[in-house]
Amino acid sequence: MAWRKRLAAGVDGINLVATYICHALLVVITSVTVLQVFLRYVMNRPTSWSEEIALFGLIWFGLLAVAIGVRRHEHVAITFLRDKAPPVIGTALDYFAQVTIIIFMFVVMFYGHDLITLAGVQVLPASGWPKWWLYVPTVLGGGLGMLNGFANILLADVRVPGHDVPELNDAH
Amino acid sequence: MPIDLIGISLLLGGFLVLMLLRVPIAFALGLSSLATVLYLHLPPLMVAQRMVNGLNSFTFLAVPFFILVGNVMTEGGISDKLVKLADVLVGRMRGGLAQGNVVASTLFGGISGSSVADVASIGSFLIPAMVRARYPAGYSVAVTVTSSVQGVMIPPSQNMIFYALAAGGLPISTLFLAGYIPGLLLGLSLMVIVYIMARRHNHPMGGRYTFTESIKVLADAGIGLFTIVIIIGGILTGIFTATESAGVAVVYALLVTVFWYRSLSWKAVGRIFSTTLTTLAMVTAIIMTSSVFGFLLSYLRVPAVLADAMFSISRDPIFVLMAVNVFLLVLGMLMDMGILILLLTPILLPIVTQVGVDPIHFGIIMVLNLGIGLCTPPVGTSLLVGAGVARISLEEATKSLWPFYIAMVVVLLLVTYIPALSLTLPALVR
Repeated sequence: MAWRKRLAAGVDGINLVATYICHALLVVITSVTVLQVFLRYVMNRPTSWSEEIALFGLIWFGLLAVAIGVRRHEHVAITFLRDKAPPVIGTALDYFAQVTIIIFMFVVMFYGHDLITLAGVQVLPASGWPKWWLYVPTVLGGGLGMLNGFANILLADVRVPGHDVPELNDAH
Repeated sequence: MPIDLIGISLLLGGFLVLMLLRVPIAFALGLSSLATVLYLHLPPLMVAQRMVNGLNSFTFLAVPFFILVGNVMTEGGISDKLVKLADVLVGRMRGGLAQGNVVASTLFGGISGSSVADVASIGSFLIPAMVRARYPAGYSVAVTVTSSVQGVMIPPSQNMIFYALAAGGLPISTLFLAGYIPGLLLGLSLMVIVYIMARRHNHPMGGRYTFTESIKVLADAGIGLFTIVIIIGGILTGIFTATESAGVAVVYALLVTVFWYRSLSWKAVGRIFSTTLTTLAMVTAIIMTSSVFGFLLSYLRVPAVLADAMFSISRDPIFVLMAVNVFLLVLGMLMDMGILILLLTPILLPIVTQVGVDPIHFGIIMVLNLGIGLCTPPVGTSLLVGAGVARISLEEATKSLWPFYIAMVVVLLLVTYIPALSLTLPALVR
């Protein structure tokens, strides 16, 4: 069906952009941390802003990565009961999982927005960057996660995470 | 203050039910926390706030770096060189390939903190090689999988960072140092089993190398292994923090693979980014939601309730540690290691510290214990990957695992009841 193809292309396009942003953030985080060592030892100029910036990148990275992970089915789940249940119930549980993801991502987005408002004009102590920037990725990540949850349901793409590709689970 | 049983059941029960219904674990944690927050009339925006705070940690920042180092080195072909080096070192022993497998994992463990990555990379060289040399496939998988547990014990270790975070901020450098002796002891005990099996089944010896060949292999692997010096040397001398050393190690790993090994294509760079993102998506989701969950656990005083229940049976440290170990072994068979560390540390640590166990020591016990769970059916991830590489069933692999399980449990008991194994090295350095 044409609308499905277009939906998939659109959603995956957005995720691709988010993926590139994450890759870039990873480079930035690494560079800032190494720069921090360089400035302290080679230039003898210890910095206080660098940790804050690196963590800033990490938070953006983390929330976007979680959202991308929804579309890529990367969040580990226990599928023992689902695999034992009759296929109809198993599939129902696959959809139910997406619904819970949508609900939670909505909550993150909704209250993330409150956090932005609450942060107001506060600034981070070392870098002087506005504090509300820290909470922007909760809205972006929550929104993208929700979008991906809906897309998974509409595209009937509700696979079980990670099973077939072993290198996906190399966090140990 | 009375115990809020409804709140506790909502949090724990909600989590368990959602998890069993196949809701991804991170989201099961998040939603049960949300429900509990609403029930307790706490401001719901704290869910989002705690999630961000969970990531806002310079200690956690080391995790992406260590994952990157492992991925860069693996793509750069370090496993091949470590396998060769291990063969040079112990290949002449009876059962040389199997002994080399254990030693290669020891070396790999010094670069990567991932047991699964160890099985996937070292195993993809050594399992086929062992099968060609007429070792039974199940035995080859058993050696590969159990020796890979050294990866979580020998620094760097993401799981120890998770523990440090969940314990409320222990020094990573101390935990890392504490892991060395237990990690090596584990490797040694596996080598003993391999030795006995090699005698009994008359396993073949490995390759012979001339002196010049050996030096070449040593130099080739040594350049990569210098990563270990950066990570540990940096921390020991106080030049870097653990996180900084991890960041510097990323750059070093890149330089070595690009300019020395010349083995990094653009395609490989793409794969490195992609696998790193995949792993981190999973890890950050759980770090964030378990940070909310952990806060609610202590808010509802769950650790205190459990401690009271435990101490009503006995306050004997030997008993308490045994009970905790059995509990962890069982759960480790059913659930993922990192998740269990993040969830159970806030509950178990207050119990064991009350009977006089050092938090650093307990971290080592917990990581080793749950490491055993990586090799057990039905969900041991390392075992699944190992059996996948060898294309054999879980049952076949598990049959050969028994002697190794016994060795691992013996090491676990030693590590549990001889705190000096974990605490001597950090004390020496301090």
